[in-house]
Amino acid sequence: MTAAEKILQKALVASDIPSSEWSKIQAGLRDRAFFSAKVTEAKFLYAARQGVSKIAASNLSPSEVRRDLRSVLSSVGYQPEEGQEGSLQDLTSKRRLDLIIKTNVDQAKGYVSHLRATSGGAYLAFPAYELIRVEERNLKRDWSSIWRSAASRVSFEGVARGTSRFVAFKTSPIWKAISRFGNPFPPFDFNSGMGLRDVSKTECIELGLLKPSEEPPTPKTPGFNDNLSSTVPFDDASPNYAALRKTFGDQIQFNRETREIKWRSELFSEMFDPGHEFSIKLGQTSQTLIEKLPKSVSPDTMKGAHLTINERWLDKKRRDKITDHRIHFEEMEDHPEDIPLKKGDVDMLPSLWRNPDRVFEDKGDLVLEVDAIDGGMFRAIVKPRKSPVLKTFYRTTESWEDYLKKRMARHK
Amino acid sequence: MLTLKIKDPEKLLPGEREIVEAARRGVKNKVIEHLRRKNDSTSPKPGFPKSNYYANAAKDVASSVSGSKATVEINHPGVALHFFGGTVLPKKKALAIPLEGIVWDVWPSEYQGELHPVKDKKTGKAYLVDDSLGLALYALVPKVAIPSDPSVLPTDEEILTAAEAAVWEMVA
Repeated sequence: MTAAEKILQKALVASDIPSSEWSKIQAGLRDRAFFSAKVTEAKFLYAARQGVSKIAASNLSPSEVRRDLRSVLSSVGYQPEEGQEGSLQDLTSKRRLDLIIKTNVDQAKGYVSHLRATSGGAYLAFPAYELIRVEERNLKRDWSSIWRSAASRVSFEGVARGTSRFVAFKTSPIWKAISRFGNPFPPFDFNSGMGLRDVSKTECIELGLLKPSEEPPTPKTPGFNDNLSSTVPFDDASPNYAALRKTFGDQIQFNRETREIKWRSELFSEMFDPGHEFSIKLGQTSQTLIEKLPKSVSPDTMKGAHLTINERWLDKKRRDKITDHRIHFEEMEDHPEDIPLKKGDVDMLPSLWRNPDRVFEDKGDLVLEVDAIDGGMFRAIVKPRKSPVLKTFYRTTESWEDYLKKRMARHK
Repeated sequence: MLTLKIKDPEKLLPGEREIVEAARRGVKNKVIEHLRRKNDSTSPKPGFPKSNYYANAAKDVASSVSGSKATVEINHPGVALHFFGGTVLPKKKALAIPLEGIVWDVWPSEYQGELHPVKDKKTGKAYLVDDSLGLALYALVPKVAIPSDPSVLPTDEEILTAAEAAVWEMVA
């Protein structure tokens, strides 16, 4: 897995909680989320995830991504709170955007590097890490105290003693313990300037971490969520789950079959497994949608309506009776104006449903549109009723007006 | 009674893949350490913040193993250019070189003010200027020549030594 892929796998999670509250969320859940403190705008999160992954892949510069993100914020009418302009709380500020970019890029790179550091011959030759400063800072945290306190909490498991150096086996729980984010790899805090260097087996022996004839502890098999507390130790009956639901609403869901708590976006990515049945709630109609309804659609039809998507949406045959709606994830020769969806684009469905840019009515159906940051628009067609049904979802560069003109011309 | 167990030495030796992985890791560590030292020894231009360019390049050192071959890459923009040297040409009309610390890492397309091009009639040099600040923020140049800098990477000898040392670490 590359750093860019790691970023794109993350579930978009909008919330108005500050970073101090995010720190309390289970590390496994938090690591799988793409979020920013107090950011509720899904379009911004989508654009940020795209931009950050492109930086990780060295396809875009931070300057270009900052510019694009400010453009998205402007399009949704974002204004910083009075007195906070230019501060870290101001989403348009360079400080804030750089923090989002740097934290996410560095975490993804740290993750990928950690996977490779704990496997095979690499681990046998270099079984430990040393925490070192890799970038200077004007204001430095007291890493000595942080290390000592964490070492004590983990009972010095795998930690070198009798040295002022911060050395421990790669498998030691101290790495998660020193991390604000609960990850066993850097960054260990926002803008910390700290990083890791490999420590060889010989050095481990010199530091007393290993005896000469001893082997280092066997690392667990690396996996996507290895060492990240990926399983959430409570189920939907727990007050912890109730608290998550209160904070995140339908963005957090419990899968009764697998007994797992996941972000809704993660459920989206599982939709595509062949034969997989799913039922994912996108939430209740929002006031924004009600206000944008065309006059021909009665608000009473839609008030309080919950949209839930299931496998019938993907499996249902299109008008040609041959293809189903998975086709929208491929190039279509007869629809050159359409842009193939990526799996991560499904994250925009809740936004289409709850905060569309435009709403039209077409033969009794609702057409919902949201502009995409990198060209074209997302479009969903929903049958409006008390239990609405998603009929189709795709991405296109063709305006609704042009689509209607073409359709009329076809029928003449 | 003394029991002597004789193990097949071949079964005690690490496999080829483990050896290659160890060597790869040793070289990767060497390159990372080298880039971090280079970062420490680099000073910013007066009035500019430190870019930590080489520290960021160190984060982009990647490695992979395929059979008996290991590859270590630095996937960071500009590193190859600095190592080999070359000429940077603009995608459009000119390259914009920041002249003030406030636009370090800020491309003109991102700048949140009004910039307009001005040509100095005496020198013929062109700039992007923000009149509200009374400052020329960028110099507009047709190209930039970057000299080759072999110190961007460790020497071949250092790399080979690092690979050998890592393998010995593993088998010892």
